[in-house]
Amino acid sequence: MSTVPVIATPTESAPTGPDQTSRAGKPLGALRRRPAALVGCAIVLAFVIVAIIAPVIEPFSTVNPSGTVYAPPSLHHLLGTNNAGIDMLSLLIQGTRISLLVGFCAAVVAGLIGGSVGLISGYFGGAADVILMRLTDFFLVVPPIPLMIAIAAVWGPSLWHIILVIGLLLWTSTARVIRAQAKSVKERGFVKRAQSLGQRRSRVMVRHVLPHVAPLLLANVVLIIALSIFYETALDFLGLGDPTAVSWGTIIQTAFLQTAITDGAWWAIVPAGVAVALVIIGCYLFGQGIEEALNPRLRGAHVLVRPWKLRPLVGRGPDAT
Amino acid sequence: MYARRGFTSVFAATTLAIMLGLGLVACGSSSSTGGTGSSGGGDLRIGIHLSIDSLNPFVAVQTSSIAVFEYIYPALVQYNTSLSIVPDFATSWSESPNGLLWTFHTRPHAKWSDGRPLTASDAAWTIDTALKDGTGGAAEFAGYVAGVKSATATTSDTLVVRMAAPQAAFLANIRQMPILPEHVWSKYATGKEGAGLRTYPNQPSSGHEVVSGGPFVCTQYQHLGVALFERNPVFYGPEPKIAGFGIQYFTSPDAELLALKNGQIDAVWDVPPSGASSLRADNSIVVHSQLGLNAHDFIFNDYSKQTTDPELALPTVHLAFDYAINRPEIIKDAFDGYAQPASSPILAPTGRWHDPAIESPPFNLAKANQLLDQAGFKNGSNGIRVADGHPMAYTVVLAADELGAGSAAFQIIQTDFQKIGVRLTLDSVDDATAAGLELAPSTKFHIGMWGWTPPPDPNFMLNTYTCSQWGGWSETGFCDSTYDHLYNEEAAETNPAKRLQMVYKMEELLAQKLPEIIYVDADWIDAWNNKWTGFGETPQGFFTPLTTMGLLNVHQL
Amino acid sequence: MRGVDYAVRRGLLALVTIFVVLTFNFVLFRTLPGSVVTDMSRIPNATPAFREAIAHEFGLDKSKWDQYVIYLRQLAHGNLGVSYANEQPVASNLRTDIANTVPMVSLGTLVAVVLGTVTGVLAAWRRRTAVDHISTGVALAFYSFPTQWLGLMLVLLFGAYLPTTGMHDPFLVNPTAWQRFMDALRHMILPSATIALTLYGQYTLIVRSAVLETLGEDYVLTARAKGLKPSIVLRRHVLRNAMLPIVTLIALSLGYIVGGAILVETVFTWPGIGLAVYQAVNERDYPMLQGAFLLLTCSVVIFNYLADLIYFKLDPRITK
Repeated sequence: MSTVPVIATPTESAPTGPDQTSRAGKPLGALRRRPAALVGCAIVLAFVIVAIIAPVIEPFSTVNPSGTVYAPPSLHHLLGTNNAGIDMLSLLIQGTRISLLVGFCAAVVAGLIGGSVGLISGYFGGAADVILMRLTDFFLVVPPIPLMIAIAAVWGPSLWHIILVIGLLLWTSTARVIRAQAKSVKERGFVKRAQSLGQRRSRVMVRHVLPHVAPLLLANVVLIIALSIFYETALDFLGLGDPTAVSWGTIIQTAFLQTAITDGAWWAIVPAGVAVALVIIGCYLFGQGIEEALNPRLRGAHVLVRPWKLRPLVGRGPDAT
Repeated sequence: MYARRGFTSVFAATTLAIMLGLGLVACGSSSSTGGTGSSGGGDLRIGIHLSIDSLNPFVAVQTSSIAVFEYIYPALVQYNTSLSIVPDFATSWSESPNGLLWTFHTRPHAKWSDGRPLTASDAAWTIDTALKDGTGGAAEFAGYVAGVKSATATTSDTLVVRMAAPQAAFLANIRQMPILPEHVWSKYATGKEGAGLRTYPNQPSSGHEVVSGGPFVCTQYQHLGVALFERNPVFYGPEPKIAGFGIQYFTSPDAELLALKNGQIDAVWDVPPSGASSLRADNSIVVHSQLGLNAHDFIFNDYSKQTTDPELALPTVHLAFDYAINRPEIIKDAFDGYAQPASSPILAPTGRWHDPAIESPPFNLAKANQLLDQAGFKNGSNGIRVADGHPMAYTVVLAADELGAGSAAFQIIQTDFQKIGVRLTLDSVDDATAAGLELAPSTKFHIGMWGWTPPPDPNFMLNTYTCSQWGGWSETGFCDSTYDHLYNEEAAETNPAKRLQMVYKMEELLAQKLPEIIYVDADWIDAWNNKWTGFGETPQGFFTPLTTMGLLNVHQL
Repeated sequence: MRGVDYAVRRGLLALVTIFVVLTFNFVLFRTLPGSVVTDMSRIPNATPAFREAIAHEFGLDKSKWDQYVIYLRQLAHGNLGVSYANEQPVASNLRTDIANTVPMVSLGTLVAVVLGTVTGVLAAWRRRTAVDHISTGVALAFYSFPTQWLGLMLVLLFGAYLPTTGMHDPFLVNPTAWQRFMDALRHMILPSATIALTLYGQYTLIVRSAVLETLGEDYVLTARAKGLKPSIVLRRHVLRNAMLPIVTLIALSLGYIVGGAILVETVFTWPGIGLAVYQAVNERDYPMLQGAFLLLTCSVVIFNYLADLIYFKLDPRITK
C-alpha cells in the first residue's frame, strides 16, 4: 500500500568524523554483534537457496494436478492443493523464484537510479543537486500504487515491466540517503586531497566517494527488496502481474478469484502471505542491521522519508527547560 | 514503577474499551431480513460480479445493465424460458407476406410509473430515435432496428413498422430494444446526432424514481454498489410475486458466494464452476446448472494481409489444431465438468438452429501431427515445427474475461500443442486491450482466446463472420464472399424452413474453414437459498436481458 | 519574516510540483493502449460511424497538443472531464467515491496511529525486555503482510460474523438513525481494521525510534537523576519530542489516505476511490483515471506542504 516507506533518509545527521573510515570498513564485525541482523540475513539466504534449488525440492508438479481440487493439508500434500488440484507446497516453492527475482531486480533498478542520483547530487552539488532533488521530490509525491497500476496497464502485465515500474518508483529514498552520505564523504581528507591533485571530479566521485557510499547503498537496496516484493504482490492481486508466472502474489490472486474462501481452502491463501512477510522481515532486519553498523547514529533518524532531524524540542542549548 | 503500572493500565483499559465496543457493534444492529417488504412477497437480494455500468440504455454496455433495462422498460416481445418469442408490450403481431410491413397491437390503457400513458407512440418514438440518431447518440440501438425504414403509431395501441428490406431476425432484434418514455427522453435528443441522449444519467434521486414501464421500478442506484428495485404498481403485465429486488456488486465470486452462504444475499447470478461444488455441499443452497449460451473460443487471425504467419490462415492448420484440443480434459479440469464440447458457433441451446451434423473432431494428436506433416511443416531442432522459414511459435492473447477456466484451458492446450510441435505463449491482457488488438482487420495478434454469450437467434453470431463486421464484431478478420452471399440471403429470408437450411449451410462452411474454434459451451450456473423458488432459468441464467420471467415467479417457500 | 518566507517558498514549490503533475498526468494516460473506443464498439451491430462518433465526442480525433490545451482549460474551470463509462462528470463521480473512502480510511488510520503510538512508546520505555521484542516483532509482522492478504484473512476469520462487502445493508427494514449508523459501522470494521493493521506497524517502529533517541538525551537522564517521577518525564519530555515525528507522519499519511485504499476496497467491494481507480483502468476510462490520479497526487502535495508548515511551527530551528 502506498504509505511512507520505512527507509533511511538522514541528511545533516549523517555522521562525520575520522573514525568513520575504520567503521565503514568493518561492517561485518558490527553485524556479528547484532543478532537481529543475522537472523534477517539467515532468513533471506534461506529463501534464496530455496529459490535456486526449487525444481529439485518441489515434491510435485506445479503444472499438472496431483490431487483433488482444494484438498486440505495432509501427510501427502503438506500444504494441500489449489483449485486445480496442484500441490500448494510446490507452488509456494516455485513462487519463491519469481517473487525474489522481481524483488531483487526491482531493488537493483531502484538502487542504480537512486545511487546515481544521490551520488551525483551529493558530490557535485549546485545546479545538478537542485534539479535532481526537485526530480526526487516529484517522484515522492506520486502515489505509488495508482501509478504502478496505470503503467503496468500501459506496458502490459509482464515480469520485466513490473520490475521496471517498481524500480522507477522506489529509488527516491535511496537517492536521499546516498546524497547525504556523499555530501559528508566529500568533506573528507582523502577526497579533498584527490581533488587538489587535479583529478577530474567525476573520476574522484567514482574512485573515491563511491566506495564509501557503496555499503550504505547496499543496505538500502536490501530494504527496497522488501518493498518491491510487497508491491509486486499488490500488482499481481489487481491482475496486473503475469498470470502464467507462479509467484506468491499470483497464488493469492488465484485463491481470491477461484473461490478459495467459500471452499474453506485457507491453505491456498495463508502460506503465500506468510512467505512474503518472512522475506520482508528478513530483508528489513538485515538491511537495518547493515545500516546501523555503518552509521550507528542513524538509528532513529532513518525511518523518515522527509529530510528532518529529530532534535529535542527541549534539551540542550539555550532552549533547555 | 508508577509510570509503568499507570501506562500499562491505560493500555489495558483502551484495549478493553475497543473490544467491548467492537463486541457491541458486532452483536447489535438489526440484520437485514429480506423477508418482509413493503407489501408482502419480500425482497430478493441478488449478488453479481459484473457491475451495472450505467442506467442510460444508450451508454451501458454490460450484460447486467442490459438485464436491468429488461426489467424496468417494456419491450415489444421477449423470450420465455424455452427461448420462444412471446408477447410482452405487444400482445399480437403480424408480418406482411413480403416481409416489408410489421403490425403490432400493444397493450391498451398501459401506464408509465409516473402515471403518464404508455402507448405505441412511445415505441414509435424509440424506434425513430434509433433510426435518426443511429450513427450518433443512439448508436447502441442501431442494431435493434436493422433494416427498419420507419415506425408509426397509427392508434394509441397499434404500431406499424415499415422495413427497407425483409429481415429474418427482425423480431429477435426488436426484442432487445427497451421502449423509452418519450416524455422523459425527447428533451435529451439534442446535440449533434442526438449526442445529448447519452448525457442523461437516468438515475433515481431522492424522491424521484426512474420513470419505468416494466415490472419493476429502479428506486436506488450506486455505481459499484447496490441497485434497488420495487414492484411497479401500474405494470401492464402479470404482477411479480416479490415486492422488490436488490442487486449487489461484488469484486469477486468468492465474496458473493460467501455472502450467499452467510445469508447476506439470497441468490447469485453466474457462479464460476469452482464455487459450484462447495455450494452443492451446503444443504441450504440450491445450485442450478444447465448448458448455457456460453461459448469459449480459440481465435485465428484470418486477415489476409496479416503476413507474418500466413500458415495460421490455412484451414488444414485450423483442423490440425482442432484435433489437438483435448475437450474432455478441458471440461473436466478447467471447467470442473460444467461444460459440453462445442463445434459450431450456433450452440445447442439455440434449438433447431444448431446443426446436429456438425461435430468437433475427437482429440487425436496423431491425426494432428499427420495433418501438419502433410502440410509440409517439418520439425525443427527444438521440437518446434517450421513453417515458411519461421518456427510455429505463437502468442495467444487471452482476454481478462477468460481468466479462470479459460486460462486453465490454455495451460492444457499449451501442453498438448507442444506434442504437435507448436509452441504457445500466453499474453494475458484486460478486455479493452484485447478488443483493441483483435479488432479486424488486425495485424497485431495471431491467436486469441475469448468467449461469446450470444443471443438465441443465430443471426448475431453468423453476422460476426461477415466482411461487414470488420471494425465491428469480427475478430477473425474472416471475409469470404460465398459466406457473405449466404448470409445476406439468410438475413432476408422470412420463410423459416428455408432460413434453417441456409443457416445450416453457413455452419457447414464455417466448420470447413474454422476461422475460430469453439471448443466448449460452458454451463450456466446460478445458486440461491432454498427458502426461495420460482426462478425462471435460461441458458444465460435467471437475471438476463432475454426475459423478465427470470424473476416474475420468484417467491419464498 | 523567516516563517512567511519559508511558507511562501515551500508553497511555490508545491505549486510547481502540481503543475508538473498535471502535465505528467495527461501524458501518462493518453499513451495507454487499448483505447476506450475499441471497447465501446463491442456492442451489437456497431457501425464504424458510431466509433467515429465516440472518438469525436471525446476529442480523441484531435492532435495531442489540442487535447492537452483543452485539458488545461477544463481544469481551470474545475471540469475534470466526463467519464467514458457512464458519461457523467468525473468530478461528481469522484466526489461520491472520496466521500465513501475517507471515513473508512480515516478510521483505520486513527486506530493505527493510536495503536502505533501506544505500542511504540511501550516498546521504547521497556526497551530490550520481552515487551519490547514482542511489540516490535508483531508490528514488523503486520507491516510485512501484504495488505490484500490481511484483508482476506479477516474475511476468512470473521466473514461469518461481520459484513465483508459494501458500505451498508440496503435491505434494512425502516431503520432508525441509530440502526443505520450501527449498520454502517459494522460494514466499516473489517476494511478499516485491514488498513489499521497494515499501517500501525510502521508507526510503532518510528515512534519507538523517536522515543528511544529522546530517552538517551542528557536532559532526560538529568531529569530522572533529579528524581522526577518517570510518568512526568514521559509526559513532559519524551512524548513531546515524539510528537514531532508522529505529527509529521500523520500529516504525510493523510496525503496518502485517499490513495492507499485500492487493495482494501477491492477485497471488500468498498465503493470508494480505490475501487473506482481499478475499475477505470480496466475500462480504459481515461477521464476517470486522470481525475482520480490528479486528486490523489495533489492531495499528497498539499498534505506534504501542510506537514512542512507544521514541522516548521514545531521546530523553527530546521535549516534547509
